[in-house]
Amino acid sequence: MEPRRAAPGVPGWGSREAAGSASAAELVYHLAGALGTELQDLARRFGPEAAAGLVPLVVRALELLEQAAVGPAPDSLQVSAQPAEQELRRLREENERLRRELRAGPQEERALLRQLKEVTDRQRDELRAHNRDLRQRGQETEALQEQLQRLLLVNAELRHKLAAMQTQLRAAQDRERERQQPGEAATPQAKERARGQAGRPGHQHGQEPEWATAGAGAPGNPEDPAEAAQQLGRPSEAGQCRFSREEFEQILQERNELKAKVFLLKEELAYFQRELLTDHRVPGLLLEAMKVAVRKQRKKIKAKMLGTPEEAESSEDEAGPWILLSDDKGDHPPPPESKIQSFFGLWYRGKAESSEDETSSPAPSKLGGEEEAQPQSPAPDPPCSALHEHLCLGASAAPEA
Amino acid sequence: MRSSLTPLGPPVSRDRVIASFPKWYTPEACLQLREHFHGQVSAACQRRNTGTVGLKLSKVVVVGDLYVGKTSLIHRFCKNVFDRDYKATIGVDFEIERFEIAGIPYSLQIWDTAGQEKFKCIASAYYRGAQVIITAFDLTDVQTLEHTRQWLEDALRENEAGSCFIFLVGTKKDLLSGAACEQAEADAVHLAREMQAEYWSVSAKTGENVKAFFSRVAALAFEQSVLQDLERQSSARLQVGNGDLIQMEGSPPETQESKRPSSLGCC
Repeated sequence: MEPRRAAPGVPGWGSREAAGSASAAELVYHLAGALGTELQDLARRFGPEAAAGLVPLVVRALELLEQAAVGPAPDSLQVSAQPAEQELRRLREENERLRRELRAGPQEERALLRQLKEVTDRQRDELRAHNRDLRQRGQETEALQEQLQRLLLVNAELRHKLAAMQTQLRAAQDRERERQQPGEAATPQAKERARGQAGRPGHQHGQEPEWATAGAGAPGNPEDPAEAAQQLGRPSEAGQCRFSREEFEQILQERNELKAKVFLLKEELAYFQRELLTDHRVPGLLLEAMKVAVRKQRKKIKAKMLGTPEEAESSEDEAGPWILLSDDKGDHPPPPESKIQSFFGLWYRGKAESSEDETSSPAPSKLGGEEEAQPQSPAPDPPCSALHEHLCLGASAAPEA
Repeated sequence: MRSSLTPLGPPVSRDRVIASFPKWYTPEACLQLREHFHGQVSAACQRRNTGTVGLKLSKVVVVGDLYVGKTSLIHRFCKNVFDRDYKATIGVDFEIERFEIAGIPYSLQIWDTAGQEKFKCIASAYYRGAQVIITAFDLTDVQTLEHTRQWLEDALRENEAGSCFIFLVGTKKDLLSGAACEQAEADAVHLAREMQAEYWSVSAKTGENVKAFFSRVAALAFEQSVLQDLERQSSARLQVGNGDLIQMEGSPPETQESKRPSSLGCC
């Protein structure tokens, strides 16, 4: 109750005094009043000596409290405001300076940018120039390439023409030589000349001697003056087929047969080589049987390759499976199914199974031959007999001529 | 035992092994768009049941004007060589190329025919029994393209209708480029569609597309012949029932069957 009563009586400390310090000072004075009353009460009851020692201590403590509550005196505050104002001025100046600096910054940057732009512009111009240059060079290259293409075409055309000319020349030479042939017997020089010509130009002449002899050996050969005159009368035909076409076809057929044979022999060789490489022991008997099997098969394949009918006997092998069955994946194949045995399965299957197997499945083995549309069994009327096998093509081609 | 079957044959060089079906050159003119082997065929190949023919071989005939590069094309493929100098083919020639397709050994016998008119009568005797007809022309010479019609007609005359695969091949691709090449190919594709042929552009000189082309030829021919074999196998099984009857009459089934082809191939 007392502090509230005392509060309105406390004088104000000025505008700078905080409300907190005013109330604290009031509290201190209130406390001082209360303590004074208490101490006077003590001195009255127990004599002045009872509180004599206590009073100065309490007074001192209250003074300290008052000092702390009231704060510094007004004049000391004025003194402390001065440096603050100085600080403020200094800060304002600094602020001004910084603003100036800030305003100056962009100008430098702008100068830099301007420089940069100049450099960029210059580089762009350079790039454009380079581009133009490149484009020009590209066009030049294209033009050169076009020229090259044209030259290549011209070259190809010339080669074409040259080839055609060579062919014509060869034909002309052939005709020339033929015209000279009737006189050959009389003038050995002419023969020499003809030989020289035959030896000179290209590829075709490897076969020429054969053709020439064939022509000479044929009945009604050019040695007959009448025949020669006839040939000269049909120069184009003579140029095309100086020798009989059958002879030529025979030679071709022979060559084809030899080629087919070489191919088959190579295949066969490869089989055997593989057998050797895989280190299978091949007993003599088996080897012999294998040879037979291969030979039989070869006829069929050769007939197919050459488009000729097969010989009569070959139809008997039809049931023999040519597919070469084996399980040689492992290093040690089980003996009853060795690769060698399976190579001529016919042999082994013939033992194991009855012959009805062969009669019941004749078709698969014929497949190969049928693709060629060639007869391969002893048909009652084979278009060409086996004897004339290699002449067959000539015979078959004849009607078209 | 069936599962362990391996057809015996000399190993084939690596680049002649065809495991997946080779693609066409252009879908605008191709014989088939499938990119896998026929289901029946791959199944048969896995079972190794592709017919009992050990040496499966198909006949390919290459025709076309002289100097279009038939021989060069074949030599590039079979021998990997190219000879700049022209050397006319006399009559016919052939090369045999071995493949391994889907694990089955297979060979193409490629017949190279003479383009010169004077050999035509001789070469045409070899057209018979072709499974594949390749008509070649020079991409830089439009006339040779026009002549392919005649060449094809001649080749087809010797063969059963619809029994052959037909290819139209433009050669010397290296000599053309850009618009000229496109134009030449467009013309050729147009003609190929008319012929029901598959179109290819190749260069024997650079070897461009040569291997891919022949692989495609081999795969198509192989697939067809396996399918034919399978068909025959099944029809042969059907014949077993009356096999006795025929034998009693003294004519084994082979004779009857072989009569048909002989009359077809009659000259």
